[in-house]
Amino acid sequence: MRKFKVSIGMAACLCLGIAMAVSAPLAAAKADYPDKHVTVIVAWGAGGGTDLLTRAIQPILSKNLGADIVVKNLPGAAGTIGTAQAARAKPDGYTVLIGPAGPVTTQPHLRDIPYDLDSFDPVGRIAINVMVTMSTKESKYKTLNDIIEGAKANPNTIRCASSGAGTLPHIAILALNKAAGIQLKHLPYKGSSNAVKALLGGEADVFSDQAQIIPRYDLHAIASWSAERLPDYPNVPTMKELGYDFQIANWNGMFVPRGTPETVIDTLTTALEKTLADKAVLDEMAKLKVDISYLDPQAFKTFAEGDYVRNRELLKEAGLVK
Amino acid sequence: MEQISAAIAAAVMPGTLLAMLVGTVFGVIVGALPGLGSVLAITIALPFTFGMDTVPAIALVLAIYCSSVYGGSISAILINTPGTPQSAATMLDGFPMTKQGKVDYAIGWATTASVFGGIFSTVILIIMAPQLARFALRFNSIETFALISLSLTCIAGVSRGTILKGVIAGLVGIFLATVGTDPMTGTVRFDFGVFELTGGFKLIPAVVGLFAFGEVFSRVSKRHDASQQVDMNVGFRVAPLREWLLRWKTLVRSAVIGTFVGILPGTGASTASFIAYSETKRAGRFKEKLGTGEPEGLIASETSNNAVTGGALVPTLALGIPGDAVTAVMMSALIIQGIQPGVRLFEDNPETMNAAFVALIICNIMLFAVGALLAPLITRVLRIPEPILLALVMILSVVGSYGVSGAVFDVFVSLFFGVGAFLFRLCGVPIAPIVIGLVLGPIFEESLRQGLLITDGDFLAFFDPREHVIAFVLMLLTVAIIAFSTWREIGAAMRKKKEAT
Amino acid sequence: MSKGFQDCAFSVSMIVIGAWLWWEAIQPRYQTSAAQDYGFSPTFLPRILIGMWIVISLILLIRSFGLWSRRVSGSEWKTLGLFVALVFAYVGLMTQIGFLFSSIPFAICAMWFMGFRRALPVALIATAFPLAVWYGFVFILKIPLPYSPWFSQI
Repeated sequence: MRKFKVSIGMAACLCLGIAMAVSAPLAAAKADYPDKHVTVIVAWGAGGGTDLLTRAIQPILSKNLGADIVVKNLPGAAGTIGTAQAARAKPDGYTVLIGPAGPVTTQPHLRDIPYDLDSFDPVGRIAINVMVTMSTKESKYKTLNDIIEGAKANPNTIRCASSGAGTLPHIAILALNKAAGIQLKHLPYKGSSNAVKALLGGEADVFSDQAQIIPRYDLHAIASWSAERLPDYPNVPTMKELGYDFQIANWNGMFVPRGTPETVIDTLTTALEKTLADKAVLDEMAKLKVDISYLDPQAFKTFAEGDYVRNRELLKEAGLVK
Repeated sequence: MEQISAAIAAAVMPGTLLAMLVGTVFGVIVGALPGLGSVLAITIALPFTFGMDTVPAIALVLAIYCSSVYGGSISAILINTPGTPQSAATMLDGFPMTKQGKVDYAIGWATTASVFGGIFSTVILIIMAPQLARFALRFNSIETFALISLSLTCIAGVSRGTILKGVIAGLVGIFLATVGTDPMTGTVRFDFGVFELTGGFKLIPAVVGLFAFGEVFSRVSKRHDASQQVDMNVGFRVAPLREWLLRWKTLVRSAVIGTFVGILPGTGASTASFIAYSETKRAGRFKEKLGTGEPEGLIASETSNNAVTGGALVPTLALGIPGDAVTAVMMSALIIQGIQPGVRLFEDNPETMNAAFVALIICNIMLFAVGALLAPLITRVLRIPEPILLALVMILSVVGSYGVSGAVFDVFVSLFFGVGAFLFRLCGVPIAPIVIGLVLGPIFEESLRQGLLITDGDFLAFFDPREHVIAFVLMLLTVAIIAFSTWREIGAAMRKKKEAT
Repeated sequence: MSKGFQDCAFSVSMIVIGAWLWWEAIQPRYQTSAAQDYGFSPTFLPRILIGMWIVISLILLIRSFGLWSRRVSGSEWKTLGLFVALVFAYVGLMTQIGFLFSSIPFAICAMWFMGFRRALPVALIATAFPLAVWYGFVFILKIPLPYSPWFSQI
């Protein structure tokens, strides 16, 4: 029995010894940032907009940064789970977040989340997608006026889809309610595909989302939430022209946890800016129909804070802030 | 005619064929490993498609899709733990066949059934995609609610003899699906302060826990019972044609169910396999023997879950709306290639789409070849002594539930479900209804509340025959099935009581 | 144990759990304004589900009294309890020292615990398999596994 116990112990030591000997050469050596792989957290599932964008810039960013980049998808709870994980990470520059507006500028107002916009230091804005309100070609709501008149005549009957409570399409509905003094019926769906399906199937009358989906589903654009008319849609009036000076756009930006050293942020910023000017990346983005729109850390911070405050006001007025 | 030959030419180019082969083998392996799942398999392949040509890239992703759904059946049959949630119903008859020593036949049945289902739905996809897509659009929230209610009645079909406990298990499953953030109000439910739970229970860790851990725990607790191993016939054997012809109705019916369920956005292969199994339990030729290793059960489950692959591509390709979670990721493979999915996909890219259809058929055929070749290797796993097998399965399952999203929390979720599954089994409660509840719960709740929102709180307006004919019919069917099952159960219970006295 | 006992134990536990969850569901934190929930609170469906399962558990409980005599097989509690503890320890250890270094001891302990105690095969399998899984996942599938604080990838 004792001999048996000794041989088990020896076997265990032998195994551990072999494992360590085999793995030792892979131990990292000490150097400057970055000296090992950088993890980019994407708080959404694979194949979604943010994920594709990240994967499109990954190879060139990796080259410009001088380190391997690993993309980690942490989906769940409208992007808050992955974003919380990124906020909690060590602020050493080896964990980076690429994400859209929702989790950092809208979700914190709706419920208790263990992070906020200021849990992050911005690195740079990557892309921006203006929201466009749309309906189907057969719908009776072809202009903003149709919607406003219809809503004034029958409050709470025009069905406006959104991709969930607190998402940007929902914010667009609230903004329209406030600006025109009307009551629209909000139908929250789980995700934008379901919302588009409802629009195409006739269950929803109107949906606001990024402009790329208009040609995809053959939709009719009613108005765009931007300051100037979109180059691809010169006939679509802007909300500003129609008298409502609101700009709503979904954007994707890069963040690091608050407290990351300045030098590290500078390295990342330089690499990001270089990547977004690279021709190969621009070609990929054209394929994905994404508009690159870089903003440096300071400008991005101001921009994001502007969104944060605006969303809070809208949600508060609608009685949705806890 | 030249269109077809051009499509075939594009699909059989060496680069494309290689992509399909790699995709098939990769998909089978990832599907067979507990956890992971089809979505992860395609996600891993996505970065590689950035640099590939269009047709090989699409062929790769299609191959992974079909083979990962099939791969899950291998572990379901061999070790009673489904590699992917889509194969949960395959265990019900697959593992009993293994216990009887007929694992070679089991794999043969599963492979052939999968290929039949895949090709059937691909043919339907090719012929009728636009019309079917338009039909799918008519399924709005209220119709979906009625359909899911009908699907939930399949809980009865998988709870042989213990309907009361099965229903409770189903209710628990639907309840567990409500844990997390409520998409309609943004409120977080039943998280008990644990932030990681705000996303709810992810399906794959739950399934790994319920089946993989649950199975290992069950076996560990029964270690001292008869552990003599039946003589295992390793290899790959397809049953004679006569056996197939006896079960042809189930084969076709399951393929139709799978295709139809795939076409409706939101429901996927797990739903289809349970519905098909339940239908076979109701109307199959060998329904009495279902659950004891009857091939008809294997056919029901595997044909339908592979038939979903073609069906789910209908709304994905014809409308640009993903038919299930996996096709959502597949759509991004198209976007990466610069192809915009949507209503104009066929008009703008006819050659690519035709080549993709041909590739899909070839993928299914390749599946058969790969399955037949890998089966003799993989079935030898059963000859490993049980302690080693269980230890290795535990390690793989832990990694499988971790790998889905890289969060150790998911492994603890799996453990929680595993312990729960063991306790349920101890009390004789079937586990499959929990999965049915978990899978259907979210859509059930969403469609119910959307519907109430649209009718302004009037539940009865759901079934107004003038407005929602489809919903009315489906609801009638649901009520009929529930009434009939209850009647039959009470009748059987009363008869048993009479015999006892 | 008898089938009746099985059913009784199950139904009682379900009723107790149901009651506790019901209590949780009616807490004020789940109350939302009409603007937020469009008329149906977020615990609307959960409460229906809990209610249904409590009712069915009661039916089951009543029925179980008639089945007390029917026998079913039992199981080894202690063995299983120890094994579950081992698995929890494994996962806990994995978060601290990484996948590879925790899987090797776990494999050894698990196989030994379940009765396979031939030292050399155990040692070989317990080393080779986790190494193979680690290599396959980290380098081929590119899925990072938890790594130890001493190396960057193991």
